[in-house]
Parts: sequence; structure tokens; C-alpha cells
Amino acid sequence: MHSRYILVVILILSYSVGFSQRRSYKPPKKDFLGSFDDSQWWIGLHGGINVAKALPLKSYAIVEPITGGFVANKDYEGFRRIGVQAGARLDFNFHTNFSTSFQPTYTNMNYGYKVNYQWTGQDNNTLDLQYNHRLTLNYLEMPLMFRFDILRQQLKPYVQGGIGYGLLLKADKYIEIESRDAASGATNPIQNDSPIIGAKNLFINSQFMWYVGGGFSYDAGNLRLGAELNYKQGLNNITNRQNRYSDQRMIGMLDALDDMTLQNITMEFYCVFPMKFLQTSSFRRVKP
Amino acid sequence: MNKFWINILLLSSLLLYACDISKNKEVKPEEVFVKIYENNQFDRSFTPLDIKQTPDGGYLILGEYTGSAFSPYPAVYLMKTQADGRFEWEYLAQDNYVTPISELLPTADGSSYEFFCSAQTDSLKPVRLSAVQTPEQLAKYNIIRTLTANKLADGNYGFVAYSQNSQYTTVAKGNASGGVLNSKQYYNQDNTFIEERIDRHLRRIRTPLPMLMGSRGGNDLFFTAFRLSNITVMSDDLSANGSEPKGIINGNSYDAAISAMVNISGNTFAMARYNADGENVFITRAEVAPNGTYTNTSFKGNILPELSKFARVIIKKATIAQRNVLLYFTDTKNGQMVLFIYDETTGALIKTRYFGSSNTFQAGNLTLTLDGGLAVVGKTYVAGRFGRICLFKLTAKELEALVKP
Repeated sequence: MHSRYILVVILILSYSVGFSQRRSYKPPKKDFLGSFDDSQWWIGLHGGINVAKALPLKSYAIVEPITGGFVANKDYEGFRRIGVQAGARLDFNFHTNFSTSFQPTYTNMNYGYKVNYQWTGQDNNTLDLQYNHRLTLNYLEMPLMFRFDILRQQLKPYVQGGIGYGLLLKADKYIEIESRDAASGATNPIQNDSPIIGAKNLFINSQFMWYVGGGFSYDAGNLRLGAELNYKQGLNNITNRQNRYSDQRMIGMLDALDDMTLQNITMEFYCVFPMKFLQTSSFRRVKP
Repeated sequence: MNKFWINILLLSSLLLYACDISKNKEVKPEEVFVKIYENNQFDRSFTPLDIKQTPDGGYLILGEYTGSAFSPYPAVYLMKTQADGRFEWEYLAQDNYVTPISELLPTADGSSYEFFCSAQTDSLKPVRLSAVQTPEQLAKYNIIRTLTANKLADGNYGFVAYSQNSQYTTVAKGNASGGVLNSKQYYNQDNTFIEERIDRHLRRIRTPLPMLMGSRGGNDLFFTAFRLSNITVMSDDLSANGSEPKGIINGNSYDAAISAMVNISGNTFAMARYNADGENVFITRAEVAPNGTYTNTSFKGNILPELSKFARVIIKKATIAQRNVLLYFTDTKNGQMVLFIYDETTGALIKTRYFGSSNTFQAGNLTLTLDGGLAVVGKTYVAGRFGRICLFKLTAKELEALVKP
């Protein structure tokens, strides 16, 4: 597993070193990317926040109703819980209005669902329990975006889309149980927390996603600042089907994960620097 | 530009290496599942005692439930599930049939199952019922307050009973139609403590007494009886003369006992016992001669302090991945069910597997399944308080992994 991360780091560094060499102006030399003047590389950092939601594909349950019982369905939350993401980005502006962007990102996503249970008995004995399940997934994402600048000016609105691969680094599960326990004499809801459960085995490592979004960039001299809003949708089931019932603590908490994909809305800011200059003495950058 | 393409190649290789999506194949729902059967009623508690797989791939679970209005004893409960664990039907005895006293036994033609329970309105005499949605009474036997029953190697049925205030353990053999073929009584010399213990056993107020009944070759049976204020295991031929058993394993009080015993071959048995302090000992190979006299503590084995005190232990012989093994199934002090797998030949432990966590889980029983997997039934306390039946199904692959050293 570590070898994968090392490979990724080497790859990113090799790109960075290869394209961060400043050079003085030379006569245009055509290659498959065009001449030197036709394109610009940008490198920088980005970060922001996101909200996530799970989209269940197929439902699974541990609690099975017998005569008189009821089905306890999972009630998935909307885009409610906030996560964060940060990473590097390497943009290649290969045409006046078109760019590609590779953005290795550490993404933290949070989402959840609720399940309600109710028991009734004689002498007004009742117990209502609400299990609030919250999942935190941390991915190393490697999206490749294609961007179109709508206007060519200092403040550029743009739209973009792309595909990406995510490698799961860490997954945790939290369960908060809210009870209305009239049988024990409670008149108000009581909240209990369970320990954090390491849940990485419950998910597979890989996730492919597609992206769509847009934003604005602002050229401040040789610095480009930007803000963008993206929607991201997983393309595959992330639940590990072989391990669905492997965690005994989850069974005690009456939970088996559904097959699911993730949906995510990200809002982020970035700052990138050009890599190609026409004159290094004046830092006059190439403007394709 | 060669470097560019090399990097692209490296990146692609990395993605392919990391990608486990193609391996994440759909698992058939009947291959692996966990179910907890819930009826949302506050006042009912269910305890499973045995599980068998039916020809349609589903599971038949025999158990008992408390909270019935008609009896101080737990009433008979039967449940049938589909192959993937989904609930199919249940039977809750509403009168008379209480306290199951046997496992699910195959019928004479092997097509279905039957079991024994006690007739509450008739001195707790044993009745044999068909294990179907509406059980039919197949036979009743005139043996008062029967504590256990089992099918014997010759197709007849063996019973152990203790009539109230009689001071005698009665052991009998009956035929399929309800006739008692022969019986024998063994004197206990105690009429005080044993009555309380048996009453608590029948009402499940304390851990049930470990009542055994089985064949050990020829006409000899082995069974649990009460003698000199001890829980003993006797070996005897009921047709032989005399009031003394041929062989005996003496206990040292009503608190120490042989809790499970399965014949491996000849005089070799797999056993479990608990001491007077409730701690458990597994003896995976014990030599018990039919006419020998022993005490519980004659049999040395592995002391397992993690197990529940006075634990109910299930021992089954099995062949898994061409390996003959012994399955010891019980529960732990921290509320998990646990399966110990021992090599039948050497008696060495191969692996353990735990079931359940967070809420308490108690062992019910287990059975090998038609697909080479394992089904394990137990009792769990949902939300820490509601006694419910839970069913775990392991795949053949998971089970085979458990017998590999």
C-alpha cells in the first residue's frame, strides 16, 4: 500500500521538476504541444470545503421483521455534513480558451443516515431509538479536468468537467444513539455516543468519479487566483461486498452497509503560478 | 517527450494496480448474511436452541419464548427462514407445549424434522411434535417431568426424567409410537436442593442444567443423572439387571458438571465441563470406558476463563475441507459467541471465530450448510434489553479458512 503512495509522490515531483524550469526566450520550436509560445503551464495549491451525500444502489439490513415487526429503513441525509479538501494542481493552458488541470487532492468527506426503531409493551412501556450513523471517508483523489474559459479577460469565468480516480486512505464510522426511553423513566431524549469504529475494511480502495463545475479566475500579474464550485459523482459502488458483515461491532449496532456511490459538492479556492516565461529578467510570462 | 509518456504509463499502471473495483463482485444473498429477527414487542424474549437447514435451502430454528400469558415455563417457538435469512413463518405455542427438551431430530424417512417438548397440562410428559408451521403431536410418552430427550442409534428415543419429590432419576427408552420399551431408575438420596434446581432449570431462571442423552455403541447409553447430590454422567444398558449403572463420571456438587459430550469413536469422547466456580474446561479427547468410574476432574483439558460461567457448550463433529474437526460453540464473559475449532485426531486447537459485539450475544446452535458454509444461531439483546434470535451465515470459503492452520 505504501508503495502506491510513494509512486504517486514521485510522479507528482517528476512533473513539477520537469515543468518548473525557467528558461529564457528561444525561437519557437514546434513539438506535439505546439510551439513554446502557444501554451502555458501553471502550478499551485488549492483547498476548500465540501458537502457529501450517499446514493444507495441496493439496500441491506440486519434487522429482519417477523410477525408484528416493521422494516427499519435507512434515511440518508442530504448534503449536510461538511468536509475539507486540499492539494496541488497543475494546469496546462494549451489553447487560448482551453486548459487541462491535474489536481491531486486529499479529500475528507462526511455523510450519514438515520435508522429508527420502536418497541412497545404493556403498562405504557415504550422505547424509541434513533441510530445516527456518520461516516468519514478520506481519499487521495486524482482528477483530470478540462476547462473552457468563457471570456478572455483578466477576470475569467469558466466551466469545466472531468474524470478522476480516488484512492481510499482512511474510513471511520461514528454512531450516536438518541433514545426516548419511557420504560426507564426518561421524559426527554437522551443522547449516547458509541466509540469510533475504523471502517476501512468496509469499503473498497478505488473510486472513479466524474466532475462538472465552473468558477472564476483572476490574473494578478504572474499570479492566478481562482474560485470554483464543482459537483462530483461516483461511478462505482464503494462498499466492499465481501466484508459487509465482517465487522462484529457493526452487527451489534444493527447495521450493514448498503451498496452506494458518493455525491459531493466542493467549493474551493486556488492560487497558481506560471512556469513558462518569455524573459526571465522581467518575468514576462507566456500568454497563449 | 519520452519522459511524458513514461509518466503516463506509470500513472496508468498505478491506477490499474490500485483498482479493486473489478474484484468487488456481487455476493449471492444466501451465501453470507447476518439477521436479527425483531418483532418490536417489549415483553417477548426469544431463545434459540437448535438450527437445521431444510431441503429448500432455508433454515428451521427451534427455540422458546417467554412472555406468553399461559405458562411459567418458556413456550415452544419455531421459525422458518428463507435461504437468504429472510423470515418465512413462525409458530408460537399458545397453550400446553412448553420447554423444548431436544434438538431438531430428523424424522424416520429423513424428509423433515421433529422435536420434543413438555406437556404443561400433563405433568411435563414429553411429546413429540413435527417441526412445521402448525406442529402435529406425533406421540406422547408416559414419563413424568422429562428433562431431556434424544434420538438413539437404533431409531428409538432416549429420555431422562426426574419425577417431583421422587429422589430418582428415571432413564427410559421409547419407540416412535409413544410406547416405553424399558426404563431404569437411579437413586439420588436428595430431595431438597435438586427440586429447586430442576424447577429453575425448567423455568430458565438460571443457566439450564446440562442434560445429556446419547448412544455409545450396542445397547449402551450415556446420559446425565443425579446421584448423591451430584450431577453425574452415567453409562448403562437399560435392559441390564441391577440398579447401579455400568460406568459413572461423578460430579462434586450440583454446581460442577459435564456440560457437553460427543462420542468420537469407541471409548473416545470430546467433552466440556465446568467446575464448581463455573469456569469451563474443554477436553478434546477423553477416554471413557463403559464400565469405568471417574470424577469430573479426572479429565484434564484446556481451562478457558474467557467463557461465560456455567456455559452452555455445543460440540459437533464435522468434516470441513477434507479435515475432521470438532466444533465447540459457546459464549464468552464479554458477551460474544465463540467457535473453537479443534483437530479431531490430535485434539489441537486450529482456530477461533467470534460472533457479535456491542450487545450481548449468547450461543444457540450451529449447522453445516448445503453450500459448504456454516449457519450459526444465537440470542442477542437488541438495544441491550430485548432477547432476539440472530442468525449468522458464513460462506464455504470463510469456513474453509477456519480449518487451515
